[in-house]
Parts: sequence; C-alpha cells; structure tokens
Amino acid sequence: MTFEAGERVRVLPSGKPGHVRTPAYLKGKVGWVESLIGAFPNPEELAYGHSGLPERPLYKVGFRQIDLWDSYTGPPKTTSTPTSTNTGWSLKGELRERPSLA
Amino acid sequence: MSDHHSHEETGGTTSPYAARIRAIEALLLEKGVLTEPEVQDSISYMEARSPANGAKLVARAWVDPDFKKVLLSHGKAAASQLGMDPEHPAEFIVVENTPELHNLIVCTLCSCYPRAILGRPPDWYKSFAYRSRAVREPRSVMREFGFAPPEDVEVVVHDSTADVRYMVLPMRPPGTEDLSEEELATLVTRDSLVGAGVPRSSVRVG
Amino acid sequence: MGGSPGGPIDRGQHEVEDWERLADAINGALGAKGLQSTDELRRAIESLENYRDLSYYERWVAATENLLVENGVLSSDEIDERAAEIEQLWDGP
Repeated sequence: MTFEAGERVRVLPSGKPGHVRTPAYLKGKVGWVESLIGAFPNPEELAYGHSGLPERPLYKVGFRQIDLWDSYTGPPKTTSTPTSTNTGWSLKGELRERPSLA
Repeated sequence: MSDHHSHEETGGTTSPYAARIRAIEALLLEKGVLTEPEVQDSISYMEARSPANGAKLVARAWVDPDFKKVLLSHGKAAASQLGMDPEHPAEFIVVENTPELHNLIVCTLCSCYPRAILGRPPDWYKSFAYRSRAVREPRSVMREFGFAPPEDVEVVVHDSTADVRYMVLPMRPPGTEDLSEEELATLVTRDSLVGAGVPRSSVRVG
Repeated sequence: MGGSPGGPIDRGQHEVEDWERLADAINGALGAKGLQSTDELRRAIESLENYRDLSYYERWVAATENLLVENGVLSSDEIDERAAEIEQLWDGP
C-alpha cells in the first residue's frame, strides 16, 4: 500500500512487543504524508539480525502540535506548526486509513 | 599492546566500562574478529568528521544557488560534491530555515545524527531532557539555548526516528555580503546545524 | 521518550575519553564488517535494564557486550576476566 503526499493518515497503535521504531507519542495520531523518503529494510527485523527484507517505503509524515499534545499551549500559529516525523516502516503498512476530511 | 591509546585511565572516577571495552577490544583482536587496522580506521573515521563539514555545506549553499538546490533535494550528492562521505544506506536530508519557518532536529528514540558528516553529536543532543522535550515544547527548549524565534515563525521539529539523518540549513546572517565563503563557514555553529540556535552574525576577531 | 516530562538541558560538553572513542570505534568496525547492525545496537541499548543508570557510552559498551555474547562471539566470563586484569594493570603494583 502506498501513500501520496498530502494524504491524511493515522498511525495505528501497535501492541507489538520488542523493538519498535514508532515513537509512542505518535501512536493513534492523525497526520499527513509529506513525502516518500525511500525504501529501507525493516529496522524492527534488522534489530534481531534478520534481513528486514523486503524493503518497505519510509514516509515523512507531518503532525500538528495541537493534535499530538493534550495541553499544548504554544503560539496561535500552532495550528500550522507540524511536527514532521518519520514513522518507522509505516508499521508494516499499518500507517493507513485515510479519513476524508469533513 | 595497541598504540592508539595515548594515555591510560588512572582509575578513580573512570567508568568500570572503560576496562570492559578495552577487554572487548583485546579479545576481538586476539580472536581475529577485528584487526588493528580496522579499529584504527574506525577511530580515524570519526576523528575526521566535525561540524566544520556542515559549515562548509552551508557556506557553499549561501553563495551558490545551484548547490543549494542540490543540498536541499539530494543531500548525500551535495555532500559528496564537497568531498564528504555520507553514511549509507541512511538518507541525509537538509532542511532550510526561512524567515517564516525554523527547523529543530531531534532523535527521540536514540540519538540519530549525521555523524558521517558532522562527527559526534553534542552531549545535550543525546540527553533525556532534550529528547523528551524537543518534540513537545521546542520553543521552550530553544529559549534555554538563548534563541527565541518570533511567534509568527513556524517551528518544525524533525524526529529522526529511522533511516534518515537531518541537518539544518540556517539563514545567512544579514550584512555578510562581503564575506568570503571561508569566512561565512566560520559563522556557522554546530548548534545552528541542529536548529538550537542561529549562526553568528560576524566573524570573530583574534 | 518523546513528550515525557524533562528537566533543564545541561549544555555542558564533556571531553570524550579514550575509552569512549574506543566504544565508537569498535561499533563502527563491527558495523563496517557487517557483524552488527545499527538497529541491533539500538535494540540492545533499549533493552538494557539499567538504561537510566548508565551514561551514553556506558550504554554502548553494555549493549555491545550483550550483542557479542548473544551472537556467541565472546563470553561474559572472558570479558569479566580480561576487564579485571586490565583494571589491575591500571591500579599499578
């Protein structure tokens, strides 16, 4: 599954144990795809000495501060202040769901 | 034994892990897992890398618009053009500060940093305090560095959680039109390459 | 880690000690030879029980040791023995 720049996506919560490359603060959050960075072997598998193949796309995803932190009290420009983050491996394609914007 | 250890720790406040890594080195060499030249090459590799490389990339981008385009779209290619050897297979992405936007780099999960270009990251970059606060309160973090972008400047935090290394291309300070490329490079601080500050505005005297 | 409460940032910079340079170098050399990946090292660091009690390079050394033992390259016993010998050497006669 691939994503286009500008698509809204949700980072699914992952209950996986072990080495996970998606920061906890992003789980369940909605952001947008900024760009495709490239394809890489899955670091969560490389971490245990496996090949990590096939390579998977790594996306740069943007998030607004107000969507990430409950008590965000930053400047008014907060609504257009994204935290751009690479979510690892899209959690093997779990980075999905394109809610249509209301 | 190995002659690249220029002085010995004398105990006291040295970490117990100092002896452990020496033990590991000795054993790996004895078992032929690594060779002396391989270890020495690895030491030299890191010693050769420093923020001066980043400063060179920035200064070139400030004077050469075509190079700037390459730096911002194909970071590794730009680095190679100036004789630097970025790591692979990680991507090297350079993000540009503008009057409307300021970038801050962090690695919340570990301490990813463009080591192949800039060398070791500063201690504060690796600290729990920075890693936890930078994503949530970037402005507060930057204030501790004595830097406060105006409220109408957008702040973007890049969390290098995967196979990407980031560097900031800071804005060229005003009033520097007469400086040479080498002089411009001296304005670029290590902290400005991470976004924790901005370049100096004038060349230091003496 | 990201987003958790954090205190003031210590902007001091310690001089890198020789042993820390060596920790960097050993990991670099192992990585260059394909004997250990960055991701394995990260995973090993993150699984350290005493992660919070160790300094940055102490974590590297502990994790490197765990990986080498895990991969059957070295044993903890031989590392213990050699480390003890080295410390005795340093402490002098």
